[in-house]
Amino acid sequence: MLKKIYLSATIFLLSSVTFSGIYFPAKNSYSYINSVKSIGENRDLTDLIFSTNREELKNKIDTYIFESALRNSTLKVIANLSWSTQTKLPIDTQIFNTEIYYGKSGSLFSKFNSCIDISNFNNFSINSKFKNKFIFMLVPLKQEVSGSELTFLQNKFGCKAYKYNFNELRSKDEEIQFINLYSLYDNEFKYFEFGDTHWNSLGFNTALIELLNITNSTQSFTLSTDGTYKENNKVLKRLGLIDLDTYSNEYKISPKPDIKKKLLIIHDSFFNEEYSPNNYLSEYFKVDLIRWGNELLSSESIYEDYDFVVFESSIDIFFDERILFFED
Amino acid sequence: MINFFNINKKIKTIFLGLVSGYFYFIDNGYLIAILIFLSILMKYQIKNNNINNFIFITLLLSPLFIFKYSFILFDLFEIEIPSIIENNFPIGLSFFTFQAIAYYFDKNREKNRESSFEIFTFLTFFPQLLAGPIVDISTYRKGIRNINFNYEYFSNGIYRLAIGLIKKFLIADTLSQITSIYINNNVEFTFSFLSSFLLIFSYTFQIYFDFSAYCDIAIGIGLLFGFKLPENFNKPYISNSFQEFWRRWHITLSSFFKNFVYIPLGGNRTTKLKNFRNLWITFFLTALWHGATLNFIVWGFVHGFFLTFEKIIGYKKYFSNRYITFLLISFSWVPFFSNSFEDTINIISSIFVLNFYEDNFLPIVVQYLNFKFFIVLIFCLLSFVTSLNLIQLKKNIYFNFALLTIAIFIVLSSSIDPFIYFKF
Repeated sequence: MLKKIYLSATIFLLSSVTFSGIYFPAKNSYSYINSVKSIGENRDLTDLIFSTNREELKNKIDTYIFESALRNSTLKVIANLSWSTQTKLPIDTQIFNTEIYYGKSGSLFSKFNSCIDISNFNNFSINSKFKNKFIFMLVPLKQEVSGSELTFLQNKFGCKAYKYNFNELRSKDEEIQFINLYSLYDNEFKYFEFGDTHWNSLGFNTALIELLNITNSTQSFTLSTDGTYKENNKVLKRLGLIDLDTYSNEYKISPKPDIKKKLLIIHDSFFNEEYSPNNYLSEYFKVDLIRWGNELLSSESIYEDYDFVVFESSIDIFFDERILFFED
Repeated sequence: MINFFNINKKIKTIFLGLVSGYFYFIDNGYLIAILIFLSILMKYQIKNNNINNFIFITLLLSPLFIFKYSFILFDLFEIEIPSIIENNFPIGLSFFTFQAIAYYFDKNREKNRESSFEIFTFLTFFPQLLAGPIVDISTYRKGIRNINFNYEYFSNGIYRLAIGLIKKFLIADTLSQITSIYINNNVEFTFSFLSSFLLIFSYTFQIYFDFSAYCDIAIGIGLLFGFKLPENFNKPYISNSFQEFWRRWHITLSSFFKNFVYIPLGGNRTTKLKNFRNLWITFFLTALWHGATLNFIVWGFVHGFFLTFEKIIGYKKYFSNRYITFLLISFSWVPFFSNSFEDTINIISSIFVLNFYEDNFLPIVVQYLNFKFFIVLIFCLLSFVTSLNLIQLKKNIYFNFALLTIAIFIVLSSSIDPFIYFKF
């Protein structure tokens, strides 16, 4: 009898993941590993068993596993277990293989994939007519400016290449305008959100005030606190599966500029709505936001209508990929 | 499910043949035709015996040659590689081709008279089809006749399955985070002692845990179906010499080459010089079995060299050292995983570079050195003393059941990296 119970329980255990995906899909399915690819068809698993469309079948099985309630509750339990030690131990205690890692007390950082010194930027060039118009806002990685939040090893062996590359690139042509966030963020304040890899209100406004200093150079601007706000912690929630309530000071810039300059911001995630609210931006600029894309630099005419064009990019992606946009 | 097999062995054969064929079809599509071709060809030859042995073996090896080695000829004659060859690789090709050869030379096949479908079931037998262990037909015959539910097999099967899943998803995949920084990044890395050390030893343990995990899973599933598949690993990193290593590592492949290449060439019952020649031919073929690239040839050369060296100096007297052997074997994996010969030299020579300030691999690796990595480190050290088969506990059903539950939890919280040996 015991053997039969054991046998039944084992078979149940082995098959329950897929079945729980089919019959008990999770309300909030986490996909911190892969997003399941859809190829536009939506047939039932039973229809696919004898189908020759093997890719669809494999995707369907993946979907059932990723959306399985059992898998998602398992992940939640494991995430909570690991987080309970994360804030107490001076080491990253995460269980999942994700693209983030934790420093001291659970401060979250994104992993980078390369760390290479580049000293030859001879191919980097900007059309001279745009030199006064283009502004490069390359945002450092959180770990580059938050050394105190890193563990000893992370700090000791951290990547120094991006800062080096940034300084080399700046020295290539002094007419090209760069916002040097490395020097602006070089103090004891926190410029990034705790559970996220993006800037907080202070980081955002510090960058913005520097932008205003360039675009409206005749005016002077100051930064002041304006209550508190709940940090996003979006990355921690998406990849660490932990939802935190962290509050930070909210900042604002005053005064408003006399003339709102027309700005085109070619951006990645730092200028997403949740990290830089559009309404707030529009108090200081007449702004258009476009995401990075291959077609951007193919037509220079799009820049003509603007007073300034800001290229915002996370520094690692800029040196890994986007710098190619500006090479001869 | 298992009581279902109590009916008779024919039903078991049909069930396993269809299921195995279907699994292969899901992943490889119409390349399953290769397995059907080998099965029919084998039955035809056994029945009629009118193809010369050399031609027949050449025919058996032809899919392997076409999909694995023909690119050399295409490159040589500067002909474009046909897309069916370039874009497809039948998973487990080397494994089932060798099983087919072993079957052809089996002494008892006349007596047993397997049908084409039975040969097909043997070649496609799903638990071990993709990456071994290489099974001989006698193991299969015993398994297919084993139609009564065997509680011990079942309990051990669950245990091996759980151990395999833990080895793969907890240990090998954690180590793969370090090695894949190098393997998947097309970047010229500068290494120092520290990063080179981490890369080499991460791969050393990754390949062991990855491959032995697959074998554990295969053996575990085999046991659930009443098959006792052969062991493929026996604590290889405690070997005192390269000779001993090859008795403990990928045991079924070593046996295959020993029985079908080394011994027919004369083995060691010949002059010393011919013995060395036999050894080098065997290792050249072992290297080629993994792939026809310079990296694998270098890897085979290194092993051939140390085996010859051990024989010349009489390793038992002067060379028998577990730690030196482990270090040399770890270094010998470098050509196995490196992206080029230059990289092999770069990684090994960096062991002598103490300046880690110019190291651009270490800053990336440091991001992965978390708590889980240190747990994995403990498992790596444990692998020197045990093969993780906790014999005293594996008969305890509660323990096995708990272990399987933990293993499933680990799988559910993991990303999925393919097994290293699938590509062979």
